[in-house]
Amino acid sequence: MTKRVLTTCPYCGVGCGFYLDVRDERIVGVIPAKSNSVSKGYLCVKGWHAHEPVQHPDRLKKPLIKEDGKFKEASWDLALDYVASRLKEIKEKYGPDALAVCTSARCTNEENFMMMKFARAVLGTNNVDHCARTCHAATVSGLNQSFGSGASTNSYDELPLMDCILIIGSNPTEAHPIVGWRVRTAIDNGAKIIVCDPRKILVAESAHTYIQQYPGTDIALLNAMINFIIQENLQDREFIETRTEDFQQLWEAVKDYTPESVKDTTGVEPQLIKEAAKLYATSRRACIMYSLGMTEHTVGTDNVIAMANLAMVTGHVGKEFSGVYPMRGQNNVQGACDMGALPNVYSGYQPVTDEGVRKKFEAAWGVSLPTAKGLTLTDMMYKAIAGTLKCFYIIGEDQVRTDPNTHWIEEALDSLEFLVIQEIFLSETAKKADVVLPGASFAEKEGTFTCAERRFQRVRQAIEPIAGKTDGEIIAELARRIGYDMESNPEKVCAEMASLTPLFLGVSFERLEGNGLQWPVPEKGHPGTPVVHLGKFSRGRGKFIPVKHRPPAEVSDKEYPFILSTGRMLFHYNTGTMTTRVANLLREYPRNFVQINPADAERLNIKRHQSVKVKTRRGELVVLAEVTDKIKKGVLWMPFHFTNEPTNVLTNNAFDPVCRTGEYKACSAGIEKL
Amino acid sequence: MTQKLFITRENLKKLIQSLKKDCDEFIAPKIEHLDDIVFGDTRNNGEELLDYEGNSIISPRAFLLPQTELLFEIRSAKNCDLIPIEDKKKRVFYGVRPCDIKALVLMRKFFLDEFVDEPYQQKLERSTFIALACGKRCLDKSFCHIIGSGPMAKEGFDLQLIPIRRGYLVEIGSKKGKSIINKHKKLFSKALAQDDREIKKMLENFAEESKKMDFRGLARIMREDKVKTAIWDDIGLRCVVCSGCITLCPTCSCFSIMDRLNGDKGVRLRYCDGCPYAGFTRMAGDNAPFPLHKDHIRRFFEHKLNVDVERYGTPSCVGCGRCIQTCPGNISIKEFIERVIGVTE
Amino acid sequence: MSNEYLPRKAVIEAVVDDTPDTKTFTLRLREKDAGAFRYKPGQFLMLSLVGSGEAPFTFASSPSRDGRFQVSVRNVGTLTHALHQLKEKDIVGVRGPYGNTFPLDKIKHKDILFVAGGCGIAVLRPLIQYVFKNRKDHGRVEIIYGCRSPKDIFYKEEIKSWANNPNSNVYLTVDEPDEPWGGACGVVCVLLPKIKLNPKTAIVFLCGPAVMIKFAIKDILKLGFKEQNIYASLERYMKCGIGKCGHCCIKGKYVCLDGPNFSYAQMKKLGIDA
Repeated sequence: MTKRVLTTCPYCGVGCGFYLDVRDERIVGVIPAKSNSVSKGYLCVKGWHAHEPVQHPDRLKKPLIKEDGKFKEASWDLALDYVASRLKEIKEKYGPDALAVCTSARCTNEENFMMMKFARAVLGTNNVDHCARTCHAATVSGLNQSFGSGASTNSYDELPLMDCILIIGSNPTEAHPIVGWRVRTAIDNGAKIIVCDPRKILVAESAHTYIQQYPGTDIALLNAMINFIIQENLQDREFIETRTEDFQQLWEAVKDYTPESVKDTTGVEPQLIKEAAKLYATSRRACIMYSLGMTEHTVGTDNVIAMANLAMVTGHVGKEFSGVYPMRGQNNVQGACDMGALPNVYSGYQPVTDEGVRKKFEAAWGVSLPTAKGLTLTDMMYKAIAGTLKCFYIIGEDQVRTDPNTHWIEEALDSLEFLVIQEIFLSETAKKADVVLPGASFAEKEGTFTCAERRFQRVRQAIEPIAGKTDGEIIAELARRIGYDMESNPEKVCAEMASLTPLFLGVSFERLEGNGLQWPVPEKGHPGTPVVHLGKFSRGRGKFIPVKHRPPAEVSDKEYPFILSTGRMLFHYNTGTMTTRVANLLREYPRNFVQINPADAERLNIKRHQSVKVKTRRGELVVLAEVTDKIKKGVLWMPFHFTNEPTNVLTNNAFDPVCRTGEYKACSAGIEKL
Repeated sequence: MTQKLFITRENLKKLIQSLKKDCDEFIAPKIEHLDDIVFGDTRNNGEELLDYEGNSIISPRAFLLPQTELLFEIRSAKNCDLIPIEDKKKRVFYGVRPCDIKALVLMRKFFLDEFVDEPYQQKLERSTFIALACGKRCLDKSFCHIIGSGPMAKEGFDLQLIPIRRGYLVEIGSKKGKSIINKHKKLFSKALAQDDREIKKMLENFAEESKKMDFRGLARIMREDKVKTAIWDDIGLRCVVCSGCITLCPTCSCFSIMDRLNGDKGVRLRYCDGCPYAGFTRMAGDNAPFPLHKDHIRRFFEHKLNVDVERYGTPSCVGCGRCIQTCPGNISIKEFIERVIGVTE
Repeated sequence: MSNEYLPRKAVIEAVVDDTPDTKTFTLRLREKDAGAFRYKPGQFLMLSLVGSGEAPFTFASSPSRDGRFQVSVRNVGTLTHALHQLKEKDIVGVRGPYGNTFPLDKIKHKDILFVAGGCGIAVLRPLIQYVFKNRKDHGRVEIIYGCRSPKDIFYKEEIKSWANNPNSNVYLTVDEPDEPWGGACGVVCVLLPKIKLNPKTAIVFLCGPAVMIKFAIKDILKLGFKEQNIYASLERYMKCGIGKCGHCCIKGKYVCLDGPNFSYAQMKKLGIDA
């Protein structure tokens, strides 16, 4: 029996659609969906192989309970009874705030809604968070302050028609390939691209202006651009006057940031800064595209605000063919945020501290809800080490490989009394669990994902869950055992979510049959919103917030003379749990490596593909050296996709004070030949 | 002009009903989401499109050489106990465009040449191909008329249907095709002179719009390495190794083989592989005969437009346009041909 | 009709450590008609370790009547690492023989020069064994063999016996001597001037790293050898061995079908130039 199941890709935040080609219960391949408005028949190499990890022999098929340090297979009933009883126990003994839930940005919106409901209504705590903390939390906190809403302002299909795209801290060709396709189309249509990146990434080869700044100096760079624009009278006076506030404060902050003054800090020639600023300001249709290069810093929130400032000063926001595009990393990290899997908000960013909102949810859920904000993922780790967090229920997240300073994370998880991991493969984090519950992949469930352009899209089931239950069903069964009945049917959960969330009121499965809906969808029957802040910002007027350059938590010094930055490659995805199980992807890059500039390599007598040791104050790692002129002198770069050579043993657990995101993009490091 | 037959729309539906009874899968173009046309099994649901515009997103290759294909059941890895997994399904392929038919002719030659590729042969001998000529220019960035593979197939089909105003003309292309006609004599009638005139007009229209390509000339230019380096550099810059071209191209045939074990049991399967990957030719010990990325994707072009002209006397690019429609680097083999035949070193 | 992808079972009868990272396996088909696995010098087989993968290996010994054949495996990757864990009586899968043979008729009564680098000696060994088995049918034999270091030299004992053949000589060279070494140092090219063969009629066989082949052929041509008398065995990633998977294709020729043994004239057409 053959069937084609139209679904959404489980990898990055672009949200491509394709058909899974199913024959006799086996997924044999992928067929691109030309009718899908996000991908239009295009896919990247990961999407073309999205079927391979699904029915891989390594998939977890049975619950595992740890006994004497070893895992033993258990039945679902045994495992769920055990987990439920332990959760109840710990709640009763230490209080609800001793527990925390980490939801999965890889799971559906409905499952995320259920997870945050589980934390709040069943466990009684607001300690719920997810991996947006490690990537785009700065976007949420930054753009919220500047614009009133922390998501992409415009849509993908405007990109090919832009005159200028400023790409900073983003590598679209590799990290968001089908948005990268739109950038390529823009270039083919004559657009001029500005790329700001310590590495000469692929798109920089076709850039009009390429700026190679040191990691962690983006505010200085952006402020210098704003300074030049205002000095040269290139700002959009009308926009500033009618649609923004606090411009004077902005000027006070940037007036000393001349391009010449930031040359040493950023390592960039003033002429280039001026060129880029002029191009961006004077282009008719211009936008900013950014990603984790901007958010994964101790000044991540300020970085985002700096970009918002630049967009507002030039009037390139709040209308079609303009805007700020935060490229969300995961297939459903936008959705997880939207569904309220955050310690301070319910779904649709309704604050938990707002009494009216809370009463609405209490009435709907039939239970009283916690009133104080919960812990972020970052602070959950601190509290675990401090001993006040006793129990962690983590779904679809591999902190031991994704969070900064691996040893610190391991210490945190080892300090817990009870750790439950719900996963599809036995990840490094899962190995530490007391109980492992086998979850379902994207091909085994119904639901929705929300991609980086705020579009709800359907995810459809191609095969039965390999371990027997979807993630939603597992949560509902745990809830039931703790005494709370929860709906697990995804369509009904979506309806429940929409009824409680003004931002998504008009969303339902039926309405998503075409090409999804971009939120806000504030009424039933509303067609969705491709461009936000049209006419006025979500908060009314856009706010200029002055920000100043602050160096990263660690700068290069005598002992550790390099700056180490980390990031992603095209062929692998995050911790590689899925992509290293795809033959063609693993073969392209089977091993971790460190990029080093030829001048630095020569000085240290390091040759191509030699084993080298990279060390930081947190740890050291032996990897192969890749000598390339694409990386700035004095900077090292490593991907983090290889679980046997984990890069995050090196990164710094220094966090942005507002959004609590780690500084993956800059720490001091040393390198030596072995 | 060979004696053609004619069938009405109604009788064609009856023919299809009858053919469905005699096969395991009836692969025909059908609408999936919105306006996507994809070849699928319509044996039990009647969703086949008798006629359609453009082409299916996938070609018949997706059934004869699927993206992943089980070759053997591994009963014991330790004892090297492998049992061949056979695909014995009888398939009728309906509505196959001339470009895809030409691709099948070339693939038959490839897989049955020298050593016989048994898994492919098994499927091929159990397949019946009913072609559907293109009544009008395909909209999907294809260029069959330039590269000589359309709008009508010359060989490689069992039956070819040519849509005309009053129904379909039918051409017999093989013994299998003849026996289908014989089995359903009542449904067919003789073609009329006016039908032939209609077809002639249609072909004339096509000829006007097409400029015949000097494919031997192109092959020679490529063989003598006279294509401007800037062209290869540009393609190399654009290619992001998505593998869409090699997965959708109806004449791509490269694959790799791997074992998937669960304990001592499992399967040995083959899966789509191809030139854009650096790892396609790289050997252990970091030994790479083609170290540069631009040379990987160059291989795709060389194979389709140069090497296969020597092997088959015709390029193995059939002008279906699928690669162009799926390339996130906006690479177009059609544009490449236009650039090269006009511009050389 | 036989499925060319179905491997036949072969049993490991002996394992010998040649060098720190190479082992030579003696194999025999498990079927009763063991003699049916007939091959000629120069051909290769596809060796499967089910679960780890399949790769091409040349027959490293000349065909023998008792159906045994040898394969030398260097530990460089996942599959070869797994092969190195195997012991006597373990079972592997074999497919073949594939590829073309050395031009045995062409070398009759001629002088022959063998130039091998590293594991390349395994590829030439069947032909060397064949020539020495039929010593009277061939002219002078000179063998040049270069390795990284003395411990990386294969078939040490057998090589000594080669030098004992009448009208034959063996020259060894290493890149870096790691033990007391009285022989030559440097790449194989440094030994070429020493050979005493008639360059106008002698036939040359080379196998080794691509870079070695390239530079050796350059020097060999300078010494007056003829292009059409020079042969090299090329190495390529292969998955099928029968010209279908596409990995070994070079400009339309398949190393598994048209090779792996190519004359220099053919190599030039493939774009492989000294």
